[in-house]
Amino acid sequence: MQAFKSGQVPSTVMDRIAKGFSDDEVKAIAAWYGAQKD
Amino acid sequence: MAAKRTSRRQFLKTAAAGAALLPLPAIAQGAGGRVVIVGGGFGGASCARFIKRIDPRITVTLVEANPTFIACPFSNGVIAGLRDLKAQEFGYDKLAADPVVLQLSPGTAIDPQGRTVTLGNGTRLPYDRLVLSPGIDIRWDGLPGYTEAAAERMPHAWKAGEQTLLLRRQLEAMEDGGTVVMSAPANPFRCPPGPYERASLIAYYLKTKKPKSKLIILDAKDAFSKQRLFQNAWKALYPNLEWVSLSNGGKVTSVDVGAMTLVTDFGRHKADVANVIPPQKAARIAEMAGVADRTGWCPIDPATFESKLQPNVHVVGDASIAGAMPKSAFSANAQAKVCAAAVAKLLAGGSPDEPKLINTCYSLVAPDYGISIVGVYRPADGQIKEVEGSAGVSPLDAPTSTRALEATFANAWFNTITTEVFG
Repeated sequence: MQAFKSGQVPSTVMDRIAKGFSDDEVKAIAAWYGAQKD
Repeated sequence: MAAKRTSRRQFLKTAAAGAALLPLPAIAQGAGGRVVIVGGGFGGASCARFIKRIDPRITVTLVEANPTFIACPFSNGVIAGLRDLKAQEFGYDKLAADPVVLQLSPGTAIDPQGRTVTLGNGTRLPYDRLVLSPGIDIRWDGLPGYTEAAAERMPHAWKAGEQTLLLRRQLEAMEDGGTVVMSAPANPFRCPPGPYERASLIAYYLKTKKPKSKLIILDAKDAFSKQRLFQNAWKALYPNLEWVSLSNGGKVTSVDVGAMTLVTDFGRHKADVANVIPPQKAARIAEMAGVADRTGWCPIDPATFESKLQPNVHVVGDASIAGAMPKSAFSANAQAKVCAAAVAKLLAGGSPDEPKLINTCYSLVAPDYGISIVGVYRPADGQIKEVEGSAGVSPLDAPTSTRALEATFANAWFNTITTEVFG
């Protein structure tokens, strides 16, 4: 998400979406993904 | 098939990631409750599924008049002969297995005080919380001369189905050298970029099948969604497409169906095929429930989508006044998830969390030429507002490979969302 936000990873829509989330929110999303088993 | 399943799982993850920002209600004792949802489109069907996923003890009943849902996104491709209407059709079997209780009958009356919904088949459903996702109705009093009978000669095709096929047949029957006239309404209306995607794909059809023909869009606005992207593409691809803005006399003030003519203050436009996209409002059931205001649309709380006019009634999708969010399938789906979390939490006696919502709208300018607009939203000052710096459209100077990639992603988006909602 941070890489999309900074443009480090090229994208079509993800760069624009990532800019709508704060660093804390990105961390919360990452923590949620990390907790998923499948 | 396997790929589809993976993409669905990925999408559900994303959806649940959104929910991580609005933590799920703790499974409290005695939760449960009865939720009735009216309208089985992207908003209503999504909401039904997500309520069951969040709290399986809640009894969810989905009320929908038609056994088959016909999706509007991508239906412009059907009009242009690029796609079969069958590809737009979805059933409710998978929702029934969730299990969502299906009532395939129209909602005919709502009693917000007694908290009941009455159906065309006579059933009366009591609810603790009601979710309305009824979509739009055409304002048949909004454009002089444009009646339901007129729509059989000048289709709107703004609800997918028979109207979509009618417009397609008319284009197919038109001789090369004919004139297609479209009219686009003032804001707000369903799918802000829709008229311009449709114009693009009709222009594509004309260019490839009937190159001597032309297309005129008469517009009641001076600006529209993804305007520069569309106009740049039109200049490059479709020299026979002409857009007439409000300032240049584009506003259609009446139609003369007998003469196949659209009338503006500046003149009359005779059409061989006319596609009138008329003014709209929230579907009638919203009015019956007392949740529509004088604008014809439904004011809501931006965090819960609960009506500002009737307690215990929520409104999502095109019918709602969702501030900066456009009336799109993606918006309806995002709103439905937020509404589902709020409804589950309220039924469990909790207080809903502050949501964050995403919308993405793809448009096809040609089969291999896609463009997009994106926004991230949150409640602020009692409305849904765009998060600063988040919104934006595709770059104006992108190479054709980017346009082709976005066309591919547009198709993938349709498969993903319809699988999430109906699959």
